[in-house]
Amino acid sequence: MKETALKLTQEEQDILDGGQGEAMRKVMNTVVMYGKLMGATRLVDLQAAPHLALSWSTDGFYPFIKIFKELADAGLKTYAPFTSNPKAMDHENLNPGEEKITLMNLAHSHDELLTEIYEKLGMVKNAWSCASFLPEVGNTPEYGDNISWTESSAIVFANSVLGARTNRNSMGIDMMTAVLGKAPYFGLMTDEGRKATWLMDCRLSKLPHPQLLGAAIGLKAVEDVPYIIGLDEMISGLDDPIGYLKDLGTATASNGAVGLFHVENTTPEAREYGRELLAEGFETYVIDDEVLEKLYNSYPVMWPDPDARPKRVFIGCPHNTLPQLKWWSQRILQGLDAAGQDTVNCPPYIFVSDAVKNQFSMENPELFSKVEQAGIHIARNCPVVYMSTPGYDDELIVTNSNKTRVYSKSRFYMDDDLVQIILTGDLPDKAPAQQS
Amino acid sequence: MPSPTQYSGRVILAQPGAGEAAVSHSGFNATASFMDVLFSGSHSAVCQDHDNKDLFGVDLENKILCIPQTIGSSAAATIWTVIVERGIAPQAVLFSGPIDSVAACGLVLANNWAKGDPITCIDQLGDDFLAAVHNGDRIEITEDGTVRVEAADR
Repeated sequence: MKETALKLTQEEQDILDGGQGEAMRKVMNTVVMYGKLMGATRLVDLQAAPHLALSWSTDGFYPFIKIFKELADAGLKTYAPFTSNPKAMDHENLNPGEEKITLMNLAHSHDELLTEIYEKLGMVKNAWSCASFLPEVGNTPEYGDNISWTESSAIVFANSVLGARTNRNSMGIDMMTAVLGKAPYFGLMTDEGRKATWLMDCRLSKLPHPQLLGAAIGLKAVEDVPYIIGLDEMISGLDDPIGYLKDLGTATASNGAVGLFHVENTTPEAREYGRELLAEGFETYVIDDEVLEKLYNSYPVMWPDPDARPKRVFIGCPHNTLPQLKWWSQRILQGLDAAGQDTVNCPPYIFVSDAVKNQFSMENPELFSKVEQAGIHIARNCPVVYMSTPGYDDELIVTNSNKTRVYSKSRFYMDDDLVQIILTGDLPDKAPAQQS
Repeated sequence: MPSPTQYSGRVILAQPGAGEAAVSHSGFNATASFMDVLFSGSHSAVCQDHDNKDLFGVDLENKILCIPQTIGSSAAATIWTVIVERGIAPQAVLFSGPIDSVAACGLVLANNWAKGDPITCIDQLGDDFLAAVHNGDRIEITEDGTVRVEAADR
């Protein structure tokens, strides 16, 4: 690999020279190579706590599980207790039948090993959630904290909504920086790297679906930083702006490669610095209703029979916030009441962390009971990985997540349409993207 | 036949080689492209990303992948390691722009921890390179990072 200048402290150089053992030498060597490649000038100490992306245990991930085992066997631990993405399975709340459960267990055959390794390395018990930054889970960095996270949706949330500083890292590097407690300093960790090179001028008739707008922004900005105007008043009127911004960011990161966005008068750095965050020579992109309509209608249908009835409705990727869980529960129940139905015709699965589900059931025992009786499921697993399991590809899924659409054959629908599908079991005619 | 066009970029890891171009003009989503490799034990490098109009359905094994940058999920590092170990990786990844951080993580890990042939990687080849190269063109790479593109008969 070609090298650039990266100045190490004496302590860091000692680690690189093997002073803390062979495992730490390899870890430091990998992190230094990554930093040099990205033009980092130094390593910085990390704060808050790590969040990792690897929680799946198929043979495809086994090479990394082996690397993590090597680190655990050497007695290494992360600089603070860490959280990780949700696992593939939650058979208690999303039961696909015995045959498929067997297939799932066969596919994720290294699950116990991964859990055991993570416990040794310092994971918080049962903290499996892609939305670990929510208060109920508690891995919430503070403004200005340097962190080194993976999971593209968590990265973009931490940078944009919390004002923490992390690059878009990838699996493997996350654990190595977590073990070192240091990360290469470049890109989104620097003041310069947090400046916006795109002004996204939203001229919309109403606040759009966050994962449709996020996709439009991600496709245009790719990995650049966008500064978004025209949304602030509409977002400030929401009951759950955090949920909206979480979903917006997720789609910018999965449909593009955005690691940080600013929303005028809304996100912390935009509130502090305003349009000073726009870099010299920034470009402007106007997003109106027509842009979103065109994008929505461009998504390919990957089902063998486009008119088939869906089997399940997946709500949330990433995991929902507590207000989102409550909002979806009430909306479906209201729909059932209005239609004179007791139960749903296409089962919905609302994905949340255990911590959010527990909080929901404690705060809303009556609502929680009604949700269960109506056939609404609250599950903790990763919907994308569920759908990627061998033998599961016959499951026709509709979803409110544009990230899930990217990584599967699922179909992305607006919220009103999903409620109708849940109630009737039938697909609607293709509806306009401007539904709420 | 037109004479080959030559480009040079930043060498990240270069080995002399030649092969057939597979070109994406939009960001390359490594995770979406190889979902079955990650989750189903697949040994096929046929691109599964249904949003990628250039490469959906194209077999990327041993090809020379020409892209602006990668996009999408942070699971992508694992992809590069696994496809190297399964012997189905592209022989080279050529970036028109600077390598992105997710791809950098993946290629550093794959080329240092995986058991298999490392992937040649050159970035900053320029927008002209990506505009000129097409699926099926023959590409030669030399150790100093020079990339020669010879257009296929079309």
